[in-house]
Parts: sequence; C-alpha cells; structure tokens
Amino acid sequence: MSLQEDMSPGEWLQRYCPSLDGQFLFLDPVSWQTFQLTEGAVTVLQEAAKAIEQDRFEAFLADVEEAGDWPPGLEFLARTLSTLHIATESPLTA
Amino acid sequence: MTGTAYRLLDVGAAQLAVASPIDRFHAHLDLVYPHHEPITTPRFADVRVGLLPGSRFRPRGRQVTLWADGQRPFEPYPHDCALPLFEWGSNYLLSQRLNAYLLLHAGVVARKDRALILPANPGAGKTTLTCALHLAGWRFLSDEFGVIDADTGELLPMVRPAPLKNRSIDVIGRRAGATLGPLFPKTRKGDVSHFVPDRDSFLARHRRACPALVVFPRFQAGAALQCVPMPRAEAAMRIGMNSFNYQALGPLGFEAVVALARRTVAYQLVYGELDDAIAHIEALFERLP
Repeated sequence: MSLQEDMSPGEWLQRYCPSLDGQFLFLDPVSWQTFQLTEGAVTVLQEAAKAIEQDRFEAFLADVEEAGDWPPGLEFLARTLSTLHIATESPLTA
Repeated sequence: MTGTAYRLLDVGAAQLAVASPIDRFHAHLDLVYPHHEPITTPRFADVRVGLLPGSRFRPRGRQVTLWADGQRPFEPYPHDCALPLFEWGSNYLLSQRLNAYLLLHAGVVARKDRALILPANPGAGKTTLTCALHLAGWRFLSDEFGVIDADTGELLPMVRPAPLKNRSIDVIGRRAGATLGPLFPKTRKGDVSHFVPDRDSFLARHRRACPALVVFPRFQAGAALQCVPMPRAEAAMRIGMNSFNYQALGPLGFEAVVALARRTVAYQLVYGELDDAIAHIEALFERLP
C-alpha cells in the first residue's frame, strides 16, 4: 500500500472514495473518519482536488462561496484533501 | 527459581496465557474450555494475565484482581468471579492489541466455511443469536470478535466461551445440545453463564471462513420479524462503527471494510422470537449466490 504522503488529492479520491451501488464513502485523510457522500458531493470534491493540485484552491473556495456556498460539511472535507498537497510556491518556500 | 506457571489457551486467532493460584478459577476454566489440551511448551501469547486474590481480611469480601503487563487495567471483582473477570478482561485487552487484523464487534458462524457475520451493539441479542445458530448446526467462530485478515478478507475463528446474560441463560440453556458453565449471579452485567462452543468448532479454530452474509440483529421483545436489505455503503458504515479498531487502522481498515461490503449481502433484522430469526437467516443464506 502506498503511503498517503505519496498521494495527490486526486489519487486519494480515486482510492479512498469508492462507489458502492451509487453511494460513495470517503476516508478523511486527516482524521481517518469515514463519510457517506452523494455523487454530487464527490463531484465537488473532485473539482476541489483539481484546484488544489493546480495551486488555485483559494480561488476555488471563492468561486464556491460566490456560487452559493458549500453544502454542509463538504468544505471541511475539501480542506482535508489540501493537506495531501504541498503548494509549489508556498509562503514557506518563497 | 521457577517461573510462573502460565496456562496457555490457543483460541484460534489469538493465544492467551493466564496464571492464578485460585483453584476454583482453574476448575471453572476446565468447564468452559473443555476441549483444550494442556500446552506445556512456552509460547508467545497475545494477552498474558495474572489473576491474583486480594486480602482475605477485606471487610466487604475477598476480591480478585487482573494484572497485565504490571498494571491493573480493571477494578477488582469478587473473588468467586475470577472467570468472568478473565473473559471480559482478556477480551478487552485483545480488542486493544490485535491490530494485525480488522476486529469487528460481531458474532460469527459459518456453514461450509461461508460465514455469517452478526455485528451489533451491546444488548442487541448478538450472543444469544450466535449461540442459537451454533446449536442449529452452524460452525461457531466467535461471539465477540469478527477477526478479518485485511489481506485476504477471510475471517479467523476466535473460539471462546460466549457470556450469556440474564434471560438468555435460560433461553439458550434449555436448547438441545447446549453446554453452559457455572452461573455467576449478580455480576456488574447481571447474571452470567458462559456457553461452551462444541468440539468440532474448537478443532476448526484455525480454519478460516469466507464472508458471505452480514446481518445486523436487534432483539425486541414481542416484535414481529422484520428484515430489510441494507445498501452496501450503509452496511460499510455500520460495519466500521461496530469495529474495535477500524479508525485506528486508517486506510487499511477502510479498504478491508469496503471489500467486505462488496463481497457480502447485508440485512437489518429485528426479531422477537429466536426460532423465527434462525429460520429467516437460514432462508437468506440459502438464497445467496
């Protein structure tokens, strides 16, 4: 098994957000708690994962807020995905 | 100097070692582990405990204390309740230590090495149903631990006596073939007597079974039988919640639970009559692919 530190947010979703008869389970990479999600919620997390990998997560958060804010609890899960990614130009490396 | 005389018990997925100078405890152990041959060679034990008597001059009655790794993890019990203390205490210690496996809080029985898993919260009737199924011809794997090898998804037996409580003692005790240990009245969990799994199950304690059916049982006095299929995602969530170490195992536990949900069919069963529940489970099992 790969170490979670080696996985991008997208890879994490692929492995730890499987579909079971149309419902999805998501393993939170920080707390290791499991959440049951709808397909729509997973789509949002996939978009968040892409944004994190492209270092535009803050812009993505602003877009979601503008579009009417997050479904309950989903922002927290998106933020846990961001822990799997080290920004290429983080303030610490600049 | 001689070492402490530990008595070793190979229960399948784990090995236990217990030392005690209390003769009555050993007599009780003989009654509820009747198929065990003495193991004389020193061996590794997953749990190694001592049951030591307290002062005989204690005003409110003599007590017995369980020691493990130089510590006393539990409050002492009355001196004549050493067996329940050993069973509960060593089960608790196993639940904390056996992290090589995914441990479900579940009864497990099998037919032709295909397993029925009965995960449940305390008080749901899991032990009673597990014992009744065993008496109806199913192989007994465990009444407390669904021990899952995360690599293969197989279930390992943990063949130990099953603690029946209060009314369940009579319900199971009057069934044909039931063997029960001594009665311990008025313990912290009420009256307790241990059900003894049969010799065939004991001899098969190293033979794994493949998970086939998951039933979440709930006894409700007087209730008509209700059995509802459970969607796989919900079953996986419930299995995880009924595990001792699911969250501690992280990704490993998650993948094991998802794999288990995918390869089994799950139901929620509410029952008021034990024989109705057994007949329904038999029918569900027959219909499995």
